[in-house]
Amino acid sequence: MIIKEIEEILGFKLERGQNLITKPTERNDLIIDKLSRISHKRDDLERVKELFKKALEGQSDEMLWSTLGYVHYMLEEFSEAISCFYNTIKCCHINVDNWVDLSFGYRCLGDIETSNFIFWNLSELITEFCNMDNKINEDILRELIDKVRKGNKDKSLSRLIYNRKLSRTKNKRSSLFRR
Amino acid sequence: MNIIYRPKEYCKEYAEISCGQLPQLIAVRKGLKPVIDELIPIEKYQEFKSVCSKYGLKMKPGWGYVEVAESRILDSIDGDKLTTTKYFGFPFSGKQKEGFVRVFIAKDEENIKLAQRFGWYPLVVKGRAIIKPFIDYLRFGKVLGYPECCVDFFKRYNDHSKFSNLYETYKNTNGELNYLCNCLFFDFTYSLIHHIPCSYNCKDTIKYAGALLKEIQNEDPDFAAKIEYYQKLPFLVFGEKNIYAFEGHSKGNEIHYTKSMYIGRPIDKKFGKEIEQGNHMIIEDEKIEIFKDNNLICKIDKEKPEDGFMLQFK
Repeated sequence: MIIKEIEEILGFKLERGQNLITKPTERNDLIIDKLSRISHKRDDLERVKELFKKALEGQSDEMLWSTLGYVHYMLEEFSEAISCFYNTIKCCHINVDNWVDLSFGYRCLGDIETSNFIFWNLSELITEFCNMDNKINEDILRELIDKVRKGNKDKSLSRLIYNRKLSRTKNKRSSLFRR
Repeated sequence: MNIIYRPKEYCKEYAEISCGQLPQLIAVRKGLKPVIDELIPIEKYQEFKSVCSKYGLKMKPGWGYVEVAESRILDSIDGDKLTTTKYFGFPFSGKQKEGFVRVFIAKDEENIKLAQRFGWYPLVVKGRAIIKPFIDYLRFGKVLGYPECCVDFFKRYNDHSKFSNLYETYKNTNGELNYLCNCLFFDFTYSLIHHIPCSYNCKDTIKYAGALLKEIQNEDPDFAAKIEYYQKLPFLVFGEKNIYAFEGHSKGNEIHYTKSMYIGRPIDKKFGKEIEQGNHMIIEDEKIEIFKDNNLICKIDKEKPEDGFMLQFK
């Protein structure tokens, strides 16, 4: 019932797919883009935020946590958005979109270094996460980052991948990359 | 027609490294714009930093970019959206030797920090396309100093699957098209603005571009004159990166020309040969006809009016 009410306020269905690390595709849900286009309707966003919190009482659900995170993101409540994205990862750590959301959350908060690290080490973080007993919060993320950093130092994994890509790449100048 | 302006003195050092956004860099120097972002060759990074410093500007790096073949980008796309990126991305450390680096340039650190937060472009990172949430495009637009009305318009109409943003702007224009609102050259030196305006006579855009043109007239009158000349040419627009400019004149829905110039990505270029061969065209909602000395040499049937429309700024 609550979800239906949220969908009526937002004007679209809450459907969110998964984007697995094993398949390198771009994100395949459009909820955050649809929310972006109605981001000026702040009263509606405040209403659905409360409804999401109600819907999450006594349960944890990937789609609900992620969408509540997006609503906070729209309202520029980035710390709250990040907390929601941690909960999303707890629900499903193999969905890359959840980590990408977390990374953009840190980026918008101004923590560019953490954001960059997550983007660059998605598969390493997901692999390490499997050994973390399905717990995730700020402290555990730092622990994970340290582990991946040390691992990369030993194996120079990131460097290897980067060098391999560079060697296969032509170096041409163009300014036509913009959307 | 020369598509890129090379200054002889003012901002000469900047233009030797990257000149697409020359007017915008001048706007930052003159305090008319808070911040810009640029893509510069990595090997020029230190030199570029020195140039900014000489101009009293601060510069911070974003991500590194390496251009790759389209087929390798396509491997990373399998969603409902399309990405226009041509780059693999990597965190810039200052040690890399190849590729490009995104840089943010402003007079003060605060605006650079804001730009770093929202200034992410579609990039393929380790084989996966990473695209920022659409709202961050809007936030970035505001950080770059674009008028609020234009950012709101972009929010509604910058959806390539549904709209041609440039055509929607045209539909939203009452009266004459003001050349100060011409964004068609925006990566090619001669546009005073680097955003798609909400209308081609948007008051806030005219205010900004008018002030910038005055500053350019003071510093480099030759550049200012060229901007005015290029902005008032007749244009045939197929898309944001698929535009023809003509040396000639327009009358009603007709263009008479002696030369044409393509502003866009070579991959999108269509009808180039026919347009180059012709010297006159008639543009209607359903079709475009190209003539050479009154002889029809090509007829282009259109599905929608925006599939090739004319713009003439005054």
